[in-house]
Amino acid sequence: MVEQIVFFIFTAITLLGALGVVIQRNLFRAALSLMASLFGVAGLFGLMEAGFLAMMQVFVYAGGIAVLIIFTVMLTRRVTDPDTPQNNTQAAGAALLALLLLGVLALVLWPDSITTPEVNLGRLHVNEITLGDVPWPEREADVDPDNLTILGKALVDAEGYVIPFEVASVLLLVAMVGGVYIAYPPRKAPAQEPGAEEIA
Amino acid sequence: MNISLWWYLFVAAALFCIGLYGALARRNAIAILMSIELMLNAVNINLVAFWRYLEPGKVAGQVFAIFVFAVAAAETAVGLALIISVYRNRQLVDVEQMDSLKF
Repeated sequence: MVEQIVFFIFTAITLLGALGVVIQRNLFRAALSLMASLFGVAGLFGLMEAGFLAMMQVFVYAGGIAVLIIFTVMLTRRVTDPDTPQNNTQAAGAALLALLLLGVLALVLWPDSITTPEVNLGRLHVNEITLGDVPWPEREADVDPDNLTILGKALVDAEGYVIPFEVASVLLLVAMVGGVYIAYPPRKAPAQEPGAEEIA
Repeated sequence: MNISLWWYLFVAAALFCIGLYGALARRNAIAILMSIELMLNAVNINLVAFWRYLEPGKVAGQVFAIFVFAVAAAETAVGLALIISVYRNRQLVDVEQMDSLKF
């Protein structure tokens, strides 16, 4: 029973934080909401006994990415005025689309079977469809206590994931160099050599 | 009543939909990047939940989640660098006005 309560607390933190990210007008508060949401996801990872991923989530996301985003919000402070409208003209359509997607996903995920009513509108005829009735598995065996060792070995094992691992490290290096290069202040235009104007 | 797999999947679906709304409706490029982070997190919850409930003896689910972390970090670094560069050159972060490649 305790586990369920903890699950609902972390779910609430995650989803309310996420709502804060998309609704807050003040971008700085939105970034702080993002941090809360990321901590909630870390809690969900912990609840699923993926302790290493929970720790990574706190380090990489809440510690790295969220701080990076807050820095950028600070750097672009002048144009992120909370008084300007933060949504574009298609916000209502986007909300409708997101709700529709959530509804469809909920229909698919619902464990009991659902039968949609038969629709008959002249030419448009939709038969009744039975969805759901999925035998969702319950949590079975405990996680191997040596799971972290196995994970670490698999990441550097030639039979495992060593090539994707190395490619990911190259990707991070390229992203780092590219990020520094793109964000570097523009150099001043080189001083014109004497005599260049005359030739021009 | 145990926590079933579909509870986690539903949380992930809700998180993904919130992120989708944010990515489509926001005007600020930083807010769009944050919404994309939410969507990537939803994917990670799904990966870890399937790992825990279906194949807890293997490592594939966790490895995939770790690669999603790496790609998300790279994406954020480059995305924020682009935003800072655009801001420095044109003093804007509104994606509606970032249209100099369009014409």
